[in-house]
Amino acid sequence: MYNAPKSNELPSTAKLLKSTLLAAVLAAVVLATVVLPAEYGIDPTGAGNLLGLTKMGEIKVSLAKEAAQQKAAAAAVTKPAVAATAQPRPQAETPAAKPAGASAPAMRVDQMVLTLRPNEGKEVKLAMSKGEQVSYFWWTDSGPANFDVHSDSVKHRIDYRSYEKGRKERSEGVLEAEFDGKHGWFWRNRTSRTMTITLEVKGQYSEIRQEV
Amino acid sequence: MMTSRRFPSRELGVALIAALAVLLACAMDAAAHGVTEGDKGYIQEITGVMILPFVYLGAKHMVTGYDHILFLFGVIFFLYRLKDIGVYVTLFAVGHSLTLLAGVLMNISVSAYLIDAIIGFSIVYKALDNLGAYRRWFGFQPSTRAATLIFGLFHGFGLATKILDYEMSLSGLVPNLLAFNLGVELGQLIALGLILIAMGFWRRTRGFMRHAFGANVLLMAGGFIFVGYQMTGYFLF
Repeated sequence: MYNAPKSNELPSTAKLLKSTLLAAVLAAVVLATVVLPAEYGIDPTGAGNLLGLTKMGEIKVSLAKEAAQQKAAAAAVTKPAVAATAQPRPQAETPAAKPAGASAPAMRVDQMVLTLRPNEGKEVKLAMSKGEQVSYFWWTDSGPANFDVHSDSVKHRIDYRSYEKGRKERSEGVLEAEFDGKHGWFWRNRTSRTMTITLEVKGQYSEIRQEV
Repeated sequence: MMTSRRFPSRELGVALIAALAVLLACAMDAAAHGVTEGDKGYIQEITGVMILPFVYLGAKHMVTGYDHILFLFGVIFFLYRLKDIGVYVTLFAVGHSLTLLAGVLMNISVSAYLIDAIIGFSIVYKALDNLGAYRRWFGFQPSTRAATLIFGLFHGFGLATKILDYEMSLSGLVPNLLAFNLGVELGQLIALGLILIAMGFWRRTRGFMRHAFGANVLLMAGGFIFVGYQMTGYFLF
């Protein structure tokens, strides 16, 4: 076969065992000073903090916790929805008691003011039907906020669809619902000072709520 | 007459396939649920120059990048002198660094499935090379150095595609990218060290040359699995 070995070029067993031991020791050191801080924020030696990696681990852990909370919340929400659809539906032939026009929301105007401590995240969602539009304007009072404009829908089983992510001090535009569901903003304050975010919305929506 | 083997190489081969299957399963991302987690989540939360964190992320990316590791394993499989290992690893590193940097900075976005399929093919190519297939079939040995460099270029595009997916902030992008690249090389050295220690033990066993054939067949199979997995993703999504 290609490039056959000559056994005198191979490292001796003693050398290999020493190498293995050295590798194990190095691995323990790297684990304690680099990997555990960077993945879990666990910093037994304090070196992770010096290297700036403990903060990475802390952020990852808090993101994982929030994701788990969202999953639990979503699971709790879908259960009653499933129970509701299990009930017998009214006959489709009979005209709906509520004329379609009455359920179409009129133009609404709202303002919400949120206070975010450093590293805190908050979310506001509007319940909108497909095609409805809302014009919005939000701004922070100090520094940029990380934001994520996104939607979800229990009815269409959409967990998360993001339209825009970024980091700004202010943003305005028109939000149009691509489907029936909840549409809105998630902000997170990654600055070192508490910030206030003001949101103004005007348009067609049936409900405005702070979700997180 | 010594009939005992110090290390069971057949079991090693089975373990390799099993490990590959487990790694493949773990590689499938959990669906995003509003909050982006892990490395990508962290990267999207930060701005500015953050050298050490990106060095770490690059090293982690390489150490957990089993497609890159498998190719590297194939390259050094029959390399015994440290000098030779150094030359080939450097060729691979130069190749993937060039396209990693160019790919991200020029925002070259190729389908991740396609580029990963090519990376899978590189594993197949190297395994066949180790088996002496090209000399057998074509009567000639393609330059192993050229192959390592050229496939390195493709590996780099794969890395760039993953980095573009992280959506790194433009602020501090170049220093952070260079730090990431440095991390990739460090990760490569770590993985290489572990592979060489394991190979060191294995090469000393009596059955090595016999089992080397089977091991490269398994490596090729692993490469084909990876190609199939990525091409399926390409046609489905």
